[in-house]
Amino acid sequence: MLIEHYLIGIVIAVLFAGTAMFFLRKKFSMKIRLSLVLVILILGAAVWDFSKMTLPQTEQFTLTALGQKNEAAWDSQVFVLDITEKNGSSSRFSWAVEGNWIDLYHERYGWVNASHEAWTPDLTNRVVLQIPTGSDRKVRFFAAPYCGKVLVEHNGTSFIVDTYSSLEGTTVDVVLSDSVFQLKDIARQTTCYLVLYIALLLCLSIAYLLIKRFIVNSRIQKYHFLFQQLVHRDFTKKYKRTVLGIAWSMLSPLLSLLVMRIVFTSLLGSEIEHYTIYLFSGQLVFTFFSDSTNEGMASLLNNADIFTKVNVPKYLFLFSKNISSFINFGITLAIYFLFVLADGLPITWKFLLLIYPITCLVIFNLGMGLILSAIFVFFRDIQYLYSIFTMLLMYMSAIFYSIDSFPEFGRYLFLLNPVYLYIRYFRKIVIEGTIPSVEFHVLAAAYALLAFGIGCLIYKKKNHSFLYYV
Amino acid sequence: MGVALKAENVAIRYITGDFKDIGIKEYVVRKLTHNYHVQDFMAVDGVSFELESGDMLGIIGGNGAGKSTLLKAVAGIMEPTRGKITANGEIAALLELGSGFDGDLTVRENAYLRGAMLGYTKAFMDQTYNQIIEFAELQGFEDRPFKQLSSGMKSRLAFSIASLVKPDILILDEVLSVGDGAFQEKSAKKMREIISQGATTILVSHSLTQIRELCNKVLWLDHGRQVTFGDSKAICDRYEKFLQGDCPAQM
Repeated sequence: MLIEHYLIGIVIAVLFAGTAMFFLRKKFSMKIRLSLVLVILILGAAVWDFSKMTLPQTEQFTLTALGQKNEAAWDSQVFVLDITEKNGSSSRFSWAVEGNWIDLYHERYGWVNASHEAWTPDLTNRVVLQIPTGSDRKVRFFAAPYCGKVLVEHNGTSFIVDTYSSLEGTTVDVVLSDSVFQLKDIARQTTCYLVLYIALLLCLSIAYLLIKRFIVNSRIQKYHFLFQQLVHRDFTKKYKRTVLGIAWSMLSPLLSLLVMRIVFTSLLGSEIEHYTIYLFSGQLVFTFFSDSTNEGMASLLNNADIFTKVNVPKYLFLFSKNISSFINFGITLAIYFLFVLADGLPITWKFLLLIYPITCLVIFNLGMGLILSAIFVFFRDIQYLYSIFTMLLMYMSAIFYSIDSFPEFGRYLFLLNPVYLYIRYFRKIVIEGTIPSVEFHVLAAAYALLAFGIGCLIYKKKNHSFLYYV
Repeated sequence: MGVALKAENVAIRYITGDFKDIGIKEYVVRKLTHNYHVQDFMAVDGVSFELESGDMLGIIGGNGAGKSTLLKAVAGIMEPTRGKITANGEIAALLELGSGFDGDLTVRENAYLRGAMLGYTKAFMDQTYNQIIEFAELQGFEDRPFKQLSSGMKSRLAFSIASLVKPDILILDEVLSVGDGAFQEKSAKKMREIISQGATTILVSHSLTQIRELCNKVLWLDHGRQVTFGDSKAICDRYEKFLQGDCPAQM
């Protein structure tokens, strides 16, 4: 798409962001306002991407086999292979609007002249196709000694292409001009964008106000300051005497990613597409899970001298530990997106859906943390068992291999692993660009809620027993 | 003036025995071989008392009498095994002045952390922060790591933060004996101020003079059992005689 095309979306998003920045200056601090601006811009980009679907998705493309040939050619057949777009995807032909060319083996769509009677009962020499709109498109014609000339009509221009080549099996590429959209199309897209964007922002504001009203009267308000202080304490202690400090949380995933990439590419070959991102998705999710639960496991016991003397809700300690893991995850996620961009994968509005697995993962981690920290107070050797368990889980989460080599039944067994589920979600959205099925979503939420439910139950029942064991 | 705090036949038990410090494997094995023994230890057994708003209760008794355990139950940290404790109003318990502090953080950060644990809000802490430091006489030490302070300074800071508490029910476990002589006077005066503002207070102390001076009701515990509860003067006299060996603990 042309740059003018994006300008509209950018301008509107920036306008909204600027308005928010200005009008909320009394209510919120600078930090919160900047994060809000970032969210508004990202939302704007995502909705803009989504609203591109309102533009015409296909346009007309006419091929006429002229029955003429180059002097050196043996015949005047014409064969088209495919049309490729900028991001490398190619389209085959099943959308002839008018006319009839034959669909040959070798996946060529072709016209053969009248002398080959068996093939040519109702072939027309002219066929009108619908091709996807876009930019940087190329038509590939099959070139061989027996190929002739074809007239290409597209976007109001027409030109003749000679598909002769003295060698069999080469191709002739023709660059197509970028799609041009009418003003009315762009106006329609902009309206759709505005409506969607405003609706989304409204929904979010209403959700925010509702949550605020709910929380004002609840215990969360009461312990908010304490929670803040605990998070601050945990964060300060973690990076107190380190040289790199918070940079370490950026460096460590990259280093392990690098090592895994080198080792496994030479071991397993790069039969998996976009292997770095494939690996990174798995590692990102798994590291978040393992760090979060390991730190959470010790959190309750480490604060024993507090909860035996002061009456504070015990789950606050776990939650504050999880916040620091979550922040690390956020930083790694940002780096992940940089890698995605560098690898050439498009960032679409579907990336917004990643909020779903992230939320599920957070709830799942909290649940596991609740369960583990409770057990850890009663039985100290759970930490050893858990570290073995984590290691096994890492090998069973298909981080560096693909499950395609497993039999059907084996593949279903992977779904029993919640971490694998979340990794799969990430890979589906980022690499394949498809949205997982409804059952997938339900299963993901079910695991998270189950873990959280059990954890809450344990804490509720054993709330007053903890201090006997410290 | 209603009933602020009521304890009915409260009993609190500790579990001792095999359960602590054993791992999962040990636990399972012992359970299977019926080798798992757990004993009950009644730290507090059959304590009942009633306090009205504005009363000041002193709890006395030898070591191991169950005073701290009873306070933990009143504060809500422990749950009574039997009996019931009903409290009307907000409870603030100062069971150990030094709990909740973290050695690596600075004095300022620790003050905020401890304040948060006592239930203060950020606004309140911002307002009273200078007051706290002044009372604890720690100006100039605010950005030092907490572990570099002497134990006296730590207790002074703890007391200073805690003394801003304005609860309906206040629980003090031997906290009025920290610091040097001058600070002890200051803290006693401050406590009297708090008590005079109408909070129902429970105080544990080994200093009978303090109890005589401050409390109007006294509860005497001996090895978990309630010896007596009532008016402070009479019981204090009896307790003194008991300490001197002149009369037995039982009623």
